[in-house]
Amino acid sequence: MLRYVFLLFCLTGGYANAHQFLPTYPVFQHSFVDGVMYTKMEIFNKRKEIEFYELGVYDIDWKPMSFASENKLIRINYLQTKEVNVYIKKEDLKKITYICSESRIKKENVQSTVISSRICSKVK
Amino acid sequence: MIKKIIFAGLLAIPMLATSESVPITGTVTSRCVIYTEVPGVFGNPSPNVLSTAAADGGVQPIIRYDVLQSGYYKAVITVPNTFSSSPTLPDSVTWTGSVDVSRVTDAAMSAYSTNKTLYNNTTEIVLSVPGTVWFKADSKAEYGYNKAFPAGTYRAIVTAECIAM
Repeated sequence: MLRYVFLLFCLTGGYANAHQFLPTYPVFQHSFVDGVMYTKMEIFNKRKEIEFYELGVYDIDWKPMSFASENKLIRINYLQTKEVNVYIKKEDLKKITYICSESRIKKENVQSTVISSRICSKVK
Repeated sequence: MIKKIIFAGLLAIPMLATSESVPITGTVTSRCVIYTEVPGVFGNPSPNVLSTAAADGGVQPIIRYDVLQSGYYKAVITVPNTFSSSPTLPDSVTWTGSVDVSRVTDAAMSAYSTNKTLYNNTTEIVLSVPGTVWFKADSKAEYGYNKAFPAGTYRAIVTAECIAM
């Protein structure tokens, strides 16, 4: 019986690939530049087939907002955690609602169907 | 007598040392983790149909959501309404799809099967119970009016989102 449970775990849990984006509710702080705020986000990549994640900042109606970061398309190796700073204009602080990270799939890694993952944190 | 006192003192020193406590601290914060457990495969039960249903020879994509605290996140799963890559298709493709609960770790999560919002090809579920839940997505594409899909490789994307509320 245990063999079957182990086999089931290998077949289901063994494949599991994960994407995590923290914190849930980021808080912006003043940066070293006047009029610019920043927050630190953390992405964890446990998806073997994914190497890149794209950052996005949106208002309450999901309209993209302008922001700056070291890279908007971030390369994160398998099992790697990366911290990224998201910079915004101080006057945009009241409009910004969501900060998202979305998996980007390389064309050659695409199988028959693919699952794209996106996690969004909310600025309160 | 003095020897006994010194001996007792020597025995007591290690006891004092072992009485030191090592604190373990941890913080539980709200978080959502998306696991892409099974990517899914289209079966081709008849020339004009591509389907992920097991009965059609396909494999359903399975997505697992882990949430640590209730009511902080909602799951938004979008089934495809277009191929991300395919041979040239001069005729139209009719898409149908659905999302349902596959497995749960808490009986209360069964309510996700009914407590969901559907719009277009998207299903939205408030993750109101902490723990792990698996969702299965079903996708079916029918080509033209009983027309055969041209030979080639067909790819589509299921989008799994976790949005903080």
